[in-house]
Amino acid sequence: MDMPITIIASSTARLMLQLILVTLFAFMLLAVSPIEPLNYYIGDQMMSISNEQRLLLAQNLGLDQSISERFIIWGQHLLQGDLGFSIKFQQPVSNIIIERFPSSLLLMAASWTLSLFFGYVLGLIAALTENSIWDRLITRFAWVLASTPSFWLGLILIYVFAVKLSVLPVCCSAPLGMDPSNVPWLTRLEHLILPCIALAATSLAPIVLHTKEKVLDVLASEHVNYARIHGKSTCGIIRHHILRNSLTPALVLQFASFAELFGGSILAETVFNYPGLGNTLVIAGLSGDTALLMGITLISSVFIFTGNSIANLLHYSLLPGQDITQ
Amino acid sequence: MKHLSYPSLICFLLLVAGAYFWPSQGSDIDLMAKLQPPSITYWFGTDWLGRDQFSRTMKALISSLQVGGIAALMSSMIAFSLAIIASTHQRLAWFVDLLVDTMMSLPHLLLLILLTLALEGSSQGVIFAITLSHWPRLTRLLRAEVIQLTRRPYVLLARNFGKPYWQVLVQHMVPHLLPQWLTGLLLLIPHAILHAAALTFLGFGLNPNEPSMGILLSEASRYLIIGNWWLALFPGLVLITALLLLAENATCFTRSLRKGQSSC
Repeated sequence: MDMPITIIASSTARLMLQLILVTLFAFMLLAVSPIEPLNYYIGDQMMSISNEQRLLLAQNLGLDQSISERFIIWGQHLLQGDLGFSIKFQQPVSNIIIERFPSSLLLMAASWTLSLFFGYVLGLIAALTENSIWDRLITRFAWVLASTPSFWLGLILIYVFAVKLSVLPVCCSAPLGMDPSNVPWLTRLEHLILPCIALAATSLAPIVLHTKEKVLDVLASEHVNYARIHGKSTCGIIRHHILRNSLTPALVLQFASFAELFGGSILAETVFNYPGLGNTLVIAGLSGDTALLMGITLISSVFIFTGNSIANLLHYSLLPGQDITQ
Repeated sequence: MKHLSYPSLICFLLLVAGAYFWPSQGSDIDLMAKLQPPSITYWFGTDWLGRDQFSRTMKALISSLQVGGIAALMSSMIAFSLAIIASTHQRLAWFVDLLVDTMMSLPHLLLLILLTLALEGSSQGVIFAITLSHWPRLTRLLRAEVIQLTRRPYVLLARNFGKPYWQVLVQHMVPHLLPQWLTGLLLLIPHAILHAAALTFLGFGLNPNEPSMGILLSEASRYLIIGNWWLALFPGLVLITALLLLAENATCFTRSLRKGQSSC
């Protein structure tokens, strides 16, 4: 089986090249932006610092070098596992990411599973009952969801469930003043529900519509007709033909949409003030914390590369004659 | 004009015209009537300065459509040019593909945040940021289309007869690409509007004094906890309606182009 290995090797090489380009691109954007890291570093004490001291500080922070030199230095530090120092949070970037990425991951994994499950089931129902009232309802629903801004949905959810009915918490990942590490699981789950729904809702529409199309294709295919003529029950057709042929494409789509998932989590986390990476990204952006922005950009692109690679592998495993699972 | 679905097109045009010609800018402050719930005088209620939320929503809708429309137009033009450029040489094709893959491996919103930071958050900054971040998907689509076209018999024949590449391009390929490009543009507009709203909602770009959907909703989020639901609900519903109508028209157009007949 050398064919898949070359595919994997070449796609890995390409991914590495992309990763370098992405970080270089982000680095350049931040370098040309009018953000003055020195001003953020000095903060309120701007007046108490002389020009010579400013220059010295800029030298110490490495701000007097050219963009390419700074990028190379940043890369060297990265290889040693050092992502720089966040001015806003006053701690190393890697600490912040290690601390906050797990809660983002939890949120994204939960809503990923949720939207995959409900999206697939709804798409399946819509296709099996084509042109019925259910099909029309589900398709309409998917279209409405696709046009709904997730942050607006988040606001409405907060109002209905947290303010009016007060059954679920308004924000955050733990009650105020509690150390997030020893919050009981049930409380943590309570805080996860609303952001999770808001995030899942936005990624539901593509999977519903895609699954519907796919299942309709399978239903119209010859082998399903053949099975039906031979008296196979609808249940049997669903189990043996439709599930096999439509679940993997749905999975491919869902893995390939990690970028949308991460983008959505930025909004969901901000609306619900959920202390994950997306929320941190917005704080970093608004306060001009370049080191932190770079760190999060790097992590998010690695995350998306992972999703895309899994999607690619699944896709190749679907191609006839190239069964790489064996 | 068999390509259009009349009801949704008329609804959309009415909505836009109504919003555009709505006389009030919604900037009149009336502290005596602040935070009023929806009523006959104030259809969508009023905000904490007593400004009429309906007027503000209408003007925000217009500005969102403008930002989204201009950005989508420029973005689709970038996509079109890149697809054409990529078709001229193998190396360029490799480069364009790499560029597309690279841009698509960052979340839109993250890319938008980085771009607005680089472009300084002005109204133009948001438009440019959306322009520069939304072309990859359409470029990929158009590239696939170009590759298919170059294998068509009449294109191959024209080339075999010794026509220079640019002439084949202009005479035989561009006319086929234009409809694809147009549907891509139409489908891009809702995306651009949603992302512009999301970006301003997060606090990047656009002047907070000019009403835009993102700013309206981010202001509303502060008043939600004390029970002023109307500030968030109505602008969102108007935005969703406008986007649904847009999407409906775009898909109808796409479908009728693909099947060669009206299916709406």
